[in-house]
Amino acid sequence: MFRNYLLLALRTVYRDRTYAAVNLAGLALAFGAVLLIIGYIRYELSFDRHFPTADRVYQLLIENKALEPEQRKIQVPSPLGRTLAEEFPDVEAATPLFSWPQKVKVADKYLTLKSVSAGADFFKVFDLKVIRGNASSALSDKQNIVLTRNIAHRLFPEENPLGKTLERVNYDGTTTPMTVSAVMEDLPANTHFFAEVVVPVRLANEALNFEAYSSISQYILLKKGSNIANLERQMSDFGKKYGLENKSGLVNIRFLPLTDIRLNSGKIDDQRYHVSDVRFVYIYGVIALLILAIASVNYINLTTARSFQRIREVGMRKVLGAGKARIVLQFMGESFLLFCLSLPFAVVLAYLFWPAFGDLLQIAEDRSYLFNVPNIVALCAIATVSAVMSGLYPAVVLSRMQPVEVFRQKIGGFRFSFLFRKALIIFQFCIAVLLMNVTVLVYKQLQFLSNRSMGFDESFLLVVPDVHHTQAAAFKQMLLGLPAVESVSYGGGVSIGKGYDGSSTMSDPADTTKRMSFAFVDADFDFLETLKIKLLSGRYFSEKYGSDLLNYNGLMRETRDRDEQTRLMRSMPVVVTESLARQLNITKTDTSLYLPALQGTVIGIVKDFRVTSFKEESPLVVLRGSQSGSGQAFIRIAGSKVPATLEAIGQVWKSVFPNKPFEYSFADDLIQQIYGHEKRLASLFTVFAVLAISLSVMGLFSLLALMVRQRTKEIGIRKVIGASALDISALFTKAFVILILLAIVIASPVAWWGMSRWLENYAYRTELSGWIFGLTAISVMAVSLLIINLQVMRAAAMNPVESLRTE
Amino acid sequence: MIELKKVSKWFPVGGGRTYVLRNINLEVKQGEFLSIMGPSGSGKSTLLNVIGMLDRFEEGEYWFRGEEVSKLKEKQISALYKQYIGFVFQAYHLIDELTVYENIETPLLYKDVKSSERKAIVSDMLDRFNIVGKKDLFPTQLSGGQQQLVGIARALAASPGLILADEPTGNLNSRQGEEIMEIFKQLNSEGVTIIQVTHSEKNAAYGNRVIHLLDGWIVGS
Repeated sequence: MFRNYLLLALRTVYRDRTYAAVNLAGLALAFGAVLLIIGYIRYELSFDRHFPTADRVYQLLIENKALEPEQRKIQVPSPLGRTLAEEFPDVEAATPLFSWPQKVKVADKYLTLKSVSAGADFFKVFDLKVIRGNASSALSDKQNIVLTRNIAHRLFPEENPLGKTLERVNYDGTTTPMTVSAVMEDLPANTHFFAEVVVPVRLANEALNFEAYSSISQYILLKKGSNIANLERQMSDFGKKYGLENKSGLVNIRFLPLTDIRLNSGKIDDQRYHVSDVRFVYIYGVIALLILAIASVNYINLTTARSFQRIREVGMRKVLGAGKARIVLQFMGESFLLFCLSLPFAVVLAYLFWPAFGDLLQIAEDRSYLFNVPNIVALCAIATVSAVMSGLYPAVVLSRMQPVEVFRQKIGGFRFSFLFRKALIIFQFCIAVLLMNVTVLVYKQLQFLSNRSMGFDESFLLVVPDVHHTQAAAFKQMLLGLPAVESVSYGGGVSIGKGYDGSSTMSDPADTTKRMSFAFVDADFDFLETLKIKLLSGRYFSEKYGSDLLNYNGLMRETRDRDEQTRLMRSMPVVVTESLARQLNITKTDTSLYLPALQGTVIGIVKDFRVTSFKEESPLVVLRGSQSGSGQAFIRIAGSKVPATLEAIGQVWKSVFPNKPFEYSFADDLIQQIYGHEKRLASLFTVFAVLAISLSVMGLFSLLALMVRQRTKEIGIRKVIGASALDISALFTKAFVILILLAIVIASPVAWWGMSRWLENYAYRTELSGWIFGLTAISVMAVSLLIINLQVMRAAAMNPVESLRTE
Repeated sequence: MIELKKVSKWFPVGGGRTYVLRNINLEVKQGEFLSIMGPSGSGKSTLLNVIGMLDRFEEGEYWFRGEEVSKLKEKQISALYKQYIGFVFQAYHLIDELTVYENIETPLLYKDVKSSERKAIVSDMLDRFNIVGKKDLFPTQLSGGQQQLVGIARALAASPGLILADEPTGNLNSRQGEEIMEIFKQLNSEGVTIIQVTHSEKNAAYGNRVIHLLDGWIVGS
């Protein structure tokens, strides 16, 4: 019996090769997309689960619901973790964790490593396998460094790296020797932080104070069997004890489970970590299923449209004694076969596209990640369910047919519901229109974001990181000697495109339910000129003013007198942005400030500028004078002969720093990188939209071919009676145009609603203009009309004598 | 075996009815070879369909082997098709995607006959109708007469007690027609009950009883 059905199914597929091919191609594309998305989802869900302690590790958060939108910060006061571990027996260990690029020098070679600064209990909290050395003492000395297996192999090939020394390059260009104390296993890519080396964090041993300058994320390890809810309950008393400002109970210490960091951390204002959003998992999952739905609809429509060829067979089988169930099984089997046939193609497609897809979604895993038993099982399960769902309707309708209707030679009583088929076509085009609208809007928002002015001139601005060296001043002087270099500035605390090294917050004096946050930029005398930031009032730092030349931090460290410290803090000159001035109501310069998070004398107000994206509000920027004469170099170059200028600067670099490679970036490139996520999103949605529209159109094309074939005689008769080719075309076109119009009418508001929700995530957003929806509507309609008429015109042009003869 | 009592079939048309069968009383005994004759539209195919339980009727009773047909469920009718009734059609109705061999095998599959037994029965049928050489061909590769032979072979494969044939020679030339009729006569002599619808007096003569239909009435037998 099975063999009989299988043969029959294969022969049916073979006889209707074109339709089978359309179905197979559609299903293969859809299942290919599904498999890729399965790989993506499993990758996302696997984050941080490789730590044996994963279920007991929590990241500390300070949540502030008083702010609009509410704020969750992972930058918490540095003693918080340690204090929790000391005061609560439930907390077994705590460690700060801070990722940053560390420059090191090994055997006269400089290289930058992804580094993690962590506490002595790092290996307790994150139970990483230590291959060499002792985990418990690996970070006990401040000059220890732990390497990953890969880095150890790179730096010390064929040697035992334990006890070997490498030099840490400090900010000021000096180096500190570090001793390799342990080698750990490489960190898997599906970890929310990166680390090639781990070094001990250097934190002052100060008491917990929530108002203090704070910039470090921390993790705790819960004791086995302890309950986090228990700890959470005690946090409000704990906060009170240490002065966590919490008048309305809206500011709280929270514990974010390690396994939630990747997907469920919500909006956390830190971009250093490898975090994503669970909504993307849902969105991509749903889109994959929608594309599968489009392919399944093609299958249903083509099968029902083609079934008139199978009716006689069904009748005969019933007369031979086949029951309804057997007929249903037979046709379900056929759909199952076709779905199964498409799977190998889908797997091949997924195999081919995984690297490109991984690139788009930043999945750092090779294909072995895609092809594992659970993924293939998941794919087969989805294929089975969709085969059953798509096969059931045609099978049941066919099985209900009565043989006598067939043998009467007229198929009057037997019809698939045209309403159902129409509904399916509307559904298909809804998805296509929806995805097209979304794609266009993502592009529009991307354009909007990346075209906004940052408040400084980012073109022809070179950024050279970490010129912390005694020769920095000489380097600057030599650069200024080059004709193509307009100006040079050293600045710190800020990295273009990434953010600020730290920020401080306090409640807004005008409205204490709101918090204000300040970011500090340490800038030299040429910063404003080099970045071309406009001075609005007052003055900028200048060597002409003695007060600008003082090293306030140094002076503060020297004195023990509280009053003197306060006086110094008050008099330290700062330059603020106009929005800061507006919020603190500073109308004239030389205003002295002594606020919890900001102290100093405002000597000037500049136009707003920012280094972070327009996705979120920027903190209020404060410029502090810096006389270190080194740091991150900003070089303003002339707009012509850029390669020659770069070459000349490279030469200067080589003469000053013969051992260091010349690394630089253009500020505008750094800014464009901010929108990498949006760019990838746009590319991904383009792929989805193209897939959806092509599958829909493919289905429409072959459905029309079938309809034309079935109505050849009718077309012939109509032509004989006097219908023109245009009349014939209108006969078919009208029905489909109405369906596609309906789809547009249904999908556009849904897209509008969805996209306005999406845009709410952005502090600055483009307009949802009606023309976008009009444009997609017109293009979908145009493509569909073209496809319909390609098919219909052929039939309409046929000589009626021939079409009537064939019947 | 078959007993129709006052069976009528009609379609509602406007306010009234159009009768296809009127007050049919008919008894067919085991082993009979009955021919139903009449002009086009006289209701003879409909009568055969009613007898074959393919079509409903509006009035009257139909008893098949002691059971009242209107009370049979679809499953029971399917079982009867499998066990007892074989159909032969004017248009053959072979399954185009199956070979001659597979077409004949199909009813056996529905009867859940074992593979080895199936092989034996199909080979027997192929032998009997002299179509062994054609067993791997598809229906479209055969002539009309050959296709009807396959159709009969298929109807006989499940060894039914009753064969219902709707103008089995209608699409065949006279030589092929005669051949088919000879086969029917042979089958009848082996004990198979046959009811055929036919236009031709000559074919009707192969049977042992003839009824004539006109406008849905039995007008003579």
